Amino acid sequence: MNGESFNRFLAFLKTVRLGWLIPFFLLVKGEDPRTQLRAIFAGVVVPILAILVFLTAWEISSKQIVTKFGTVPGPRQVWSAWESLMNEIRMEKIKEADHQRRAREKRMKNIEKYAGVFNELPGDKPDFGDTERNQKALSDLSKTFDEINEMLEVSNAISGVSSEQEAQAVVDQFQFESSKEIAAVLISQLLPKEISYRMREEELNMGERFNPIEGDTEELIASKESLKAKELKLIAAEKADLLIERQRLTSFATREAIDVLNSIPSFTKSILGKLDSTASKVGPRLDGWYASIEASEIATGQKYPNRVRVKMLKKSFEYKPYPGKDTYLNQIATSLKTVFFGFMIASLVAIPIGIVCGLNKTVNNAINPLIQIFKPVSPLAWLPIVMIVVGALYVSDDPMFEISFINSAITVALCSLWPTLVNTAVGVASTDKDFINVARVLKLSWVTKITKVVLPASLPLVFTGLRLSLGVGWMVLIAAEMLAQNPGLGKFVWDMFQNGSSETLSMIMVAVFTIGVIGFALDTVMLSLQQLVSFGEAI
Amino acid sequence: MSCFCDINGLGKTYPTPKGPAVIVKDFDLRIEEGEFICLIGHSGCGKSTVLSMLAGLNPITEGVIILGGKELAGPGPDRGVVFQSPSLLPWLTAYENVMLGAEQVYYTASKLERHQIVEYYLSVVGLADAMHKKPGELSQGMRQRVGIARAFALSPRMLLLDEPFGMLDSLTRYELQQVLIALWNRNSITAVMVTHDVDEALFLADRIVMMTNGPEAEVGDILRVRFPRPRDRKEVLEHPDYYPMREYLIEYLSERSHRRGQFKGEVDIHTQINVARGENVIELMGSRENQGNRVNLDRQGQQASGVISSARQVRPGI
Repeated sequence: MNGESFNRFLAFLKTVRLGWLIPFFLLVKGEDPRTQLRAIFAGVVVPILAILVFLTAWEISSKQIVTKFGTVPGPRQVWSAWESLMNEIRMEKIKEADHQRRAREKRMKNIEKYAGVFNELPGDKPDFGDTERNQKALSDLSKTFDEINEMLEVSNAISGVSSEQEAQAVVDQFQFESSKEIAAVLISQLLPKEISYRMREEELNMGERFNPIEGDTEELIASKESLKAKELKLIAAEKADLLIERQRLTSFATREAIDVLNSIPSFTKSILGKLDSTASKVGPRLDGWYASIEASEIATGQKYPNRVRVKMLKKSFEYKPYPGKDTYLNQIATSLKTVFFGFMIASLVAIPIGIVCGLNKTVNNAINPLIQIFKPVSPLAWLPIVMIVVGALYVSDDPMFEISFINSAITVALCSLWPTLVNTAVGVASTDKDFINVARVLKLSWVTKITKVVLPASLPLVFTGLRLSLGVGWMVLIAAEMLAQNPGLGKFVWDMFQNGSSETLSMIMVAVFTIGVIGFALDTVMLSLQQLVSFGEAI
Repeated sequence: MSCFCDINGLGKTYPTPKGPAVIVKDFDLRIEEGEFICLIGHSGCGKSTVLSMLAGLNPITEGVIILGGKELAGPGPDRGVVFQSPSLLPWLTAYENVMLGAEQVYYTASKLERHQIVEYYLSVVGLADAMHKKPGELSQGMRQRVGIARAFALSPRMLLLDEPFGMLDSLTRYELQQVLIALWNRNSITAVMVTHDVDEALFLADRIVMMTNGPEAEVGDILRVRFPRPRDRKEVLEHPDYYPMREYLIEYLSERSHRRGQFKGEVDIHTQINVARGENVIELMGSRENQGNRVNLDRQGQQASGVISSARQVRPGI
């Protein structure tokens, strides 16, 4: 890399907020190590230390507060909640593949059962390839899924195990070697903790150390009670740790299962892929054929002998998507979609109005009071209005967007359009006078003046506005989704709050971090865009 | 030569909280076609105000400008302007900056023709290789070359230059003067240039218009420069008139303070003009043969005499 492109690369790092990486590159390039190490200390070590201090303080203080859902989760519990969400996604992936497999098997069975019907199919007979090979591939796939399903059962099966004998029995009950191995690993890691927890709990309930027996003095009973209360807290912490451990091991099992799913040989995959692609072409032909059969039966009154068979065949070729539930990633995607949709509406409204305001003082004076009044209004106030108005206007039997999506998006738009509007107006109004003079001397048309001179000149400020707007939009979105029941992160938080389990708090905290990280990422993207369109001072 | 541009009683007044501020008052100038005029004066005296009124960028409060027989109203591409800062649009390349104007003027021309025009002017100013660079990648001098190319590419009837080389170092300034004069020699567009560089004015101008100090600035004195064209810098510097003229200009700029007089009328060759103590300005409007002659002023006394064939306006103090 030559000097210039290296410098450009460093500048790029700075714009995408990776400036802290620069000293590492300079160090590798052989610049003065002392300066670079100092820069690394300031830019990397210090923030990491601060994060560690924060996590420690959190871990310690969280243990002190016991709510109705157990202790306030510490960082480890939140991480385990995150893992359980990721685990859910893996499970969904496996289930979807399983669903696909069943559909294929059913179709294959029907293809063989009603082979005769294909000979009557108008046009060429579809070529599904070598039947025997297809069958073999399907049965291989089936076997893989047996293995996967067994692996997924492992963590359930070992959850009640409390002794070595029971553990052995559980391991023996499994059919596949891989499952046995996983079970053994899980048991070896979980069993000692499980046993210790159980013993402690038994001691707490029965043991003389904590429970009064005959002949104890009142003083002793009192001290036993206080001891018991202390032990109860400790056991609660141990139970929380055990839960974390179980979660960790469950996700270990699903990860292994995913590995097995991914290890299906490419040969099998390609055979099945061919089968699928043929099926996707045959499906519509069968549909058409069946429709014409029905029509001719009505027209002629004569029954077509194979009608039911065609119907069965047609049914097995129908595409049925996996009716999975929304995973955490889907919820994030919904939130992002909502915020971008709202942000787009806001930009489409705010930028043109901002331009007009910036160009014309009278318009600006007219609109300014409205801007100032509507700017500070909370999304919670907008939402009911939006819901009622949208409910009245957006009536459709087959809506393109969910109504809750529209509600949240419009609320986001209403709250986030102001910074863009104000900044665009300021940017346009403060276009360098020299540029305006150029436009006047050249007698540029209004449109050319806007597109070639005014807009490019005010782009940096417009982008500052857009960046602020996106920030506001993202912040407002969660509240809007909560109330509008749009299936995104806001609804996730609301649902978690409503269903009140031991995981409630940690799940909500996961959502908090997710919202924070995504907000930061969005801001970084906008910041980079903003710096991309900045041309510096007027030349 | 015909009178191409007639500036008559031009004035500019800005309203201020303390009452109207008169920047320029009764500015009269007749410019002939193909003439190169330099406006010279102290900074802040209103040179640029006059120029921007000529460009139509600044509304005229008093008087009238008649350009080619028509009263001037608003800016337009018939007057190419070169600004003090090049004022290039930094998001467009040099080529696109020039093309922006060309598209306005040659809207009937084909794309290829426009391309050729833009390319021609950019290469004439010496930017053939840097045509597709953004202004940010060009040096200050190169940017101003683009500015000159942009003004000439409009093929304007009049060229207005507002201290175009004021921000450049002297070497670059010499180069760009050369570029400007070379282009001007080819096209002989009527040009008005604001400057406060005496050498620049002497090298470029046919007439140098000295403005009185503001407020209420007006035409103080006009000096005709008769160096043969096309001019060569060395020849100009070696011309016997060069140093006297230069001295005169510098003396004018550094010493004289001027006020408006009220005398209007024809003056003979040996007209004697009464000048009050400390007030001593005369604008020369001689015939062609005698233009450039100076009125000799008796600074000590109250009288001044000049060698003038005719004068439209002579303004002594009272």
